Amino acid sequence: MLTALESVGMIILYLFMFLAFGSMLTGHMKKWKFSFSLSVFLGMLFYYSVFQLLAVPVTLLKQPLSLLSALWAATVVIVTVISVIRNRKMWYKRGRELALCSGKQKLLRLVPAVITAAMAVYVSLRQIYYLDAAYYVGNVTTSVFTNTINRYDPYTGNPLEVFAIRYLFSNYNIQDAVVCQITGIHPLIETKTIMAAVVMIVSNIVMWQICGLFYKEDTGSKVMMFVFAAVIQLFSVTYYITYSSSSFLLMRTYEGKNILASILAPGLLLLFGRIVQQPEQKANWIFLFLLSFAGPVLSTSASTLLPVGLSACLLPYMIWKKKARIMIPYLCCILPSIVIFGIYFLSTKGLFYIRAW
Amino acid sequence: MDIILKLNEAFESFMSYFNGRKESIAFLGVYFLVLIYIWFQKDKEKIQMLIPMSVFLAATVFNFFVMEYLVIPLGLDTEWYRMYWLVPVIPVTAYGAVELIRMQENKIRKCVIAALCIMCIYLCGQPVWKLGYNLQDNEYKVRDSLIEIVEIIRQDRQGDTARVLFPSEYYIYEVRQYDASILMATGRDTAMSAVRKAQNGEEIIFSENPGERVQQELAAANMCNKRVDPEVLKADLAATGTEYVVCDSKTDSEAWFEEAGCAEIGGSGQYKVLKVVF
Repeated sequence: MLTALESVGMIILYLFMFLAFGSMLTGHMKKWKFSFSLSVFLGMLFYYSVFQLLAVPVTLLKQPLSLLSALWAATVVIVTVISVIRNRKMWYKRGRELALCSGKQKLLRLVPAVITAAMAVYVSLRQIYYLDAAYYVGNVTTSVFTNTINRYDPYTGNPLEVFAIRYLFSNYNIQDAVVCQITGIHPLIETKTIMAAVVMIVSNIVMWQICGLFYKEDTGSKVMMFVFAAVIQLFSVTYYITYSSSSFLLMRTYEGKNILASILAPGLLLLFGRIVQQPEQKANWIFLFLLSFAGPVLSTSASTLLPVGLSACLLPYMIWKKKARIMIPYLCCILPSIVIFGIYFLSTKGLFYIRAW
Repeated sequence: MDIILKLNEAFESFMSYFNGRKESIAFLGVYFLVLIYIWFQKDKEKIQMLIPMSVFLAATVFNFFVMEYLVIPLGLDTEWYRMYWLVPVIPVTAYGAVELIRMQENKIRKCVIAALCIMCIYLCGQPVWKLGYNLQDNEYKVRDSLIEIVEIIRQDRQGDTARVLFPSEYYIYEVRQYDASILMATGRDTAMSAVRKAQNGEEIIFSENPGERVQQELAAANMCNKRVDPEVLKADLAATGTEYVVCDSKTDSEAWFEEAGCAEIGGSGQYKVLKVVF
């Protein structure tokens, strides 16, 4: 019971931290209607981007996990406090607007919330075994136990001679380790219960926002589209876990691969859609850059998938619009993935390595 | 003629990649139908958002020439499926269903069409409950027996860590998720390969590496009830620094490990925990 309460508390805390981080970006922008859900999604990207800026140097300097935990705790507290001070009136104002909408509107908005909560409970209580968890969760448990970052082999517990470059920039699991070290929560609960629910909620938030691209102010149609999307998720599961992101969403929810399939790839469509619909709003380009920066932090595969996705969206758009200057933000957006993939590629060719000790 | 044959060969190879992964391909068909609808709807924003991207992906990453001459030769085909995540099949299919419903004039027709859409979705895909649902055994989502085994080792060991040899693949990849103070003699893939070969009755070619070999020896003893020379076993346990061995009590492996210098300290279910005492 205590674990259940602790988990619910942590899920709420995560969402609040994402909101605080996201509101730092969306809070006081001109010609921008504040949205809680969009702020949570962008906040997640911002949260992991800032974490990356701290985690990579701490890892490369071979400092203990406890140092990263201290630095991250301080950063989160500072950002959250500033965000609360800066955005509290706006949150209140937007909250009141939502509270004052008609009873029918409220009831309609409750539908996605209930579906999301049900899906979150479904994945949080499920016991499922996948081989890859031996690395994803094992790395968290190992990092907490040894108080190091990526310096031990999660499979055996033996010290590594050199860093595994493939995972050096994918610090999503290390964030879990930091949270486990600060809170004392077991890594299996943090990953398979708390993060499973958080990822499910954020992925549904992204889907809700995508529904908004199709039916801007028509809440009824938006809700209907969201319900159908949820039904399709439930019916497009495959044994092979291949041609369906649903399989990952419903079975391997907490994994970086699922974040790529269910948050980053749809998030790319969402932000690209916003660029198409609001070409005057330059902030969408910044958010797209944020997505491409946070992508490889959340999943190693993002460094190959996101450049393809960005090219698929932005290159035809540039030709359609006949605006060569779109090339500049496009190149900026693919740069983080290209750099990380380049480093990984060079390391696989044996051109360099980084000693772990 | 050669070109046609070559093209046919490439196409078949491309299609074979899709075979076995086709459960959700039906949704891809619906996706294309909705794109055609969007095209005829002449909604400029939606066209800009979806159609050029889909054409780009079809012409590049989902082009069977790219697949045949680049992806498969480079050995990327096992991970290439992730590119499919870039295609927004789910929201676009959902949009198509909503548009179909919105086209209807009265509520009854809307309800009928909604029900038909759900039936189509059901027929196109595979429901999640067909894969079964296991409610968690405990808050850690690992087998209860694993927790018991780890607890026996924790109670007995002297230091902060203990190197343990596990018999079953589940324990091999789960144990370090639960407790990182348990060290393994060999990596996950090597250990599981040894276990699976033994499970499938394949001949085990013993490795030169003591870490791999000791896992193979345990697998042979546990899965195939194959006696392993106690002296070799003893040497391998010593070489790998193994402190505990978990044996399947349904076989004679426990006796052989005892001959090699191990002693039982406890057990959980069908598994016995032995301590290396030499």
